[in-house]
Amino acid sequence: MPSLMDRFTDFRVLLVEDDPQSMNLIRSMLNDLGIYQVHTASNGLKAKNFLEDEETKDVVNVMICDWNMPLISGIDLLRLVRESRPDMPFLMITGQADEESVKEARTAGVTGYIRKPFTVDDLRKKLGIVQSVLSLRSPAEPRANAG
Amino acid sequence: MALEALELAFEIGRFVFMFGIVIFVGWIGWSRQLLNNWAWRYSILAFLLLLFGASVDVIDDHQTTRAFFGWTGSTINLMIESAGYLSGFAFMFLAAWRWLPHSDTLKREKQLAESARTAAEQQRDVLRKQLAQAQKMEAIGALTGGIAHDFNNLLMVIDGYARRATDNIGKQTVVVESLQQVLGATKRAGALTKQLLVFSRRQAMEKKVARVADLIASVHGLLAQATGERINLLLEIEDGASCIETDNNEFSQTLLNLTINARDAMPGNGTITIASRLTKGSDGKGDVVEISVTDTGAGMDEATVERIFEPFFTTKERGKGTGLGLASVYGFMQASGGDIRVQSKPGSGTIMSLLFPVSERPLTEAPTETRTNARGGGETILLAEDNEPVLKLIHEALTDLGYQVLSAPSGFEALERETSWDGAIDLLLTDVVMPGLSGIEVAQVVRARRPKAKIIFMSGYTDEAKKTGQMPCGATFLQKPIDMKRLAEVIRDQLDQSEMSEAS
Repeated sequence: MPSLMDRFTDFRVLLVEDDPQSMNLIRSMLNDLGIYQVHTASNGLKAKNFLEDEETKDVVNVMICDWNMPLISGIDLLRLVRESRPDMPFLMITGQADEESVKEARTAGVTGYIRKPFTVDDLRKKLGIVQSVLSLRSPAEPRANAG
Repeated sequence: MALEALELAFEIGRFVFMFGIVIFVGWIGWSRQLLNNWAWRYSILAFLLLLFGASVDVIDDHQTTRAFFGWTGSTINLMIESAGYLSGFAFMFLAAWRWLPHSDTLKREKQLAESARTAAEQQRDVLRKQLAQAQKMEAIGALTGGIAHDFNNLLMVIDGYARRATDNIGKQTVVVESLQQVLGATKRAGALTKQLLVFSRRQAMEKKVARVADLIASVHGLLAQATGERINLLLEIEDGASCIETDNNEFSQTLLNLTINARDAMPGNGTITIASRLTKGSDGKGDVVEISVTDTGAGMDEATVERIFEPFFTTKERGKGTGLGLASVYGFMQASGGDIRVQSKPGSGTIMSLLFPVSERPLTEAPTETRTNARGGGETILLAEDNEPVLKLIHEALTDLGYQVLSAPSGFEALERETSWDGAIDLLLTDVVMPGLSGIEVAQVVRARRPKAKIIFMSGYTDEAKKTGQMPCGATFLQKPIDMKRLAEVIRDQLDQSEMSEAS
C-alpha cells in the first residue's frame, strides 16, 4: 500500500529514549514511515522541559517513550504528561511486559504499547491507529485516504 | 483730601476682599486636594497677580503708574476688575466641575452599585449551594439509616445463600436454589440503586411514547398486589387514548409509589381510585393528561403537604419508609416535563395528580416479548472494557452464547485487535470511560472503518457520554450493572436489526 507512506506526514513525534543506538534505530524507522519531524529527548527531564518550554510546547502531537529510563521512567513521564495533556497520544515502548506494570500504565492513561523488539510494520500499525484517532479529533486537518 | 481718604479706604477694602478670596480659594483648593489641577493653579495665580496689581494701585498714585506703564488709571482699574470677574467665573466653573454630579461620576457610582449587587447575588448563590450541600449531607446521614438497612438485609441474603451453596456444593438442587436466591437479592439491590439514581437524576430515562390506558393497564396487576384485599382498587379511565412520553419503568414505579402511600394512609378499609382524564395545562396552553390517585384515608395537614416532596421526609415509622418515594416521584415528573399536584385535608383523603403533556409523536413500538433464544450465531463482537473482571465475565458469557469475542482491556488494544482482524466485526461493545482512548473514540474509529458494525455502550453513568454529544448515531446505551440476560437480548436485537435493514 504505497498510500500508507503519506499518511503519517502530519505526525510530529517526540521520541524519548535513553539509549542512543535504540533512539537512532527508532528514528530511522519513523523516517521510513515518512515521519521526518522527529524531536528527541535522551531522558524524561529533557522531554518534560521540551513539553513545557513556551517555544516548543506545541511542536509535537505524538509521543513515543521508552519505559526503562534512569531518573524519570516512562510511566513517571506519562503521568506528568497526562496532567497537562490528557489527549496526547502516548505510545510506550516496553521491553519487559509483566501484567502488573502494563496495568499500571493503562490506569495512568497510556494510549498504547510497542513491545520490543518491534519492526517497522508493527510501528506502522500502531501509528495507523493513532492517526485514525487524531484525524477524528481534528476533522479540519487534511485527512489522508486510508487504503 | 476727604475724597483721597475715601479712595484709599476703598482700595484697602478691595485688597482685603481680594485677599480673602485668595485665602478662601486656596483653602478650598488645599482641602479638596485640587491644587494639582491646572485650573486651580491658574486661578490662584490670577488672584496673586490681582493682589499685586491691587497693591500697586494702592501704593502708587495713578500718575506714577501712567508714567511707568504708559497706561491710564482707568485701564488699570478695568484690568483689575476684569481679572476679578474672570477669577470669579473660573471659581464658579471649577466649583461646578467639582460639585455638580458628573456623568462619569454617575456612571462610576452606578457601576459600583451594580458590582455590589452582583457580589451579593454571587454570595447568595454560594449560600444556596452551601444550603443544598448541607441538605445533601443531612440526606446522606439519613440514608445510612434507611437504605443501608435494606442493603444489609440483601447482603445478608447473598452472603447466607452463597455460604449455603459452598457448603452443599455436591447437592445440585440446594446449590441451584441458593444461587437463585442470590440472583433475586442482586436484582433487588439493583432496583434499590436504580431508585437512588433516579432520585439523584443521574440515570438516563428511556422515554417512549405510549398510550395512557396501556401504561396503566401494564401496572394494574402490580398495584392490585400492593393494595391487598382489604382495599378496593378502582380504575376510572376517562381518557385512555392520549399518548404521553415517558419511561415505562419509572411510570410504573411512580404509580406504585403513590398507590403504596395511599394504602398506608388507610389503616383499615378504603378505596383507591386511579383516574385519567384530559385537561388543560396550568397555563391554559396545550393539553395535558391528568392521572390521579385518590384515597379515602387520613389526609394531611398543610404543613405536611408542604414537605412531602422533600427527600427523606416521611411520616411513616422508622424503618418502614425511606422518604425517597415522593422525592423520586417529584424528580421523575420534573424529568418528564410534567407537574404534580396535591389536594389533601385532614380527614377527607388525598388526591395526588400527575400532569403529563400530551405527546403528538408517533407511538413507540411495544417491546417484543422476551426472546427465549437470544443466542449468537458465530457473529464477531469486539469488546473493550478496562475493568478486567468485568471484561472476563462478559467475554465468557458472550462466548457461551455462541459469539466470537475479541476482547481488549483498553481502547487502543481494541483498535489493534480490530486492525489485525481480517474477518467481519458485527458489533462493538464498549465501556464509555476508559483511560487513554475513550469508548466513544473507539466507536468513532470503528464506525468510520466498519460502517455496518453495530455499537453498544456500557456505562455506570450516561451523563459523560451525553455531555460530549459525540455518540455515533444509532448507538445503544446499556446502564451498568448489566444483567447478562438483558445484554444478550440487546445484542441479538442489534444484530437482527442490521439483518432487517440489509434485507429491506
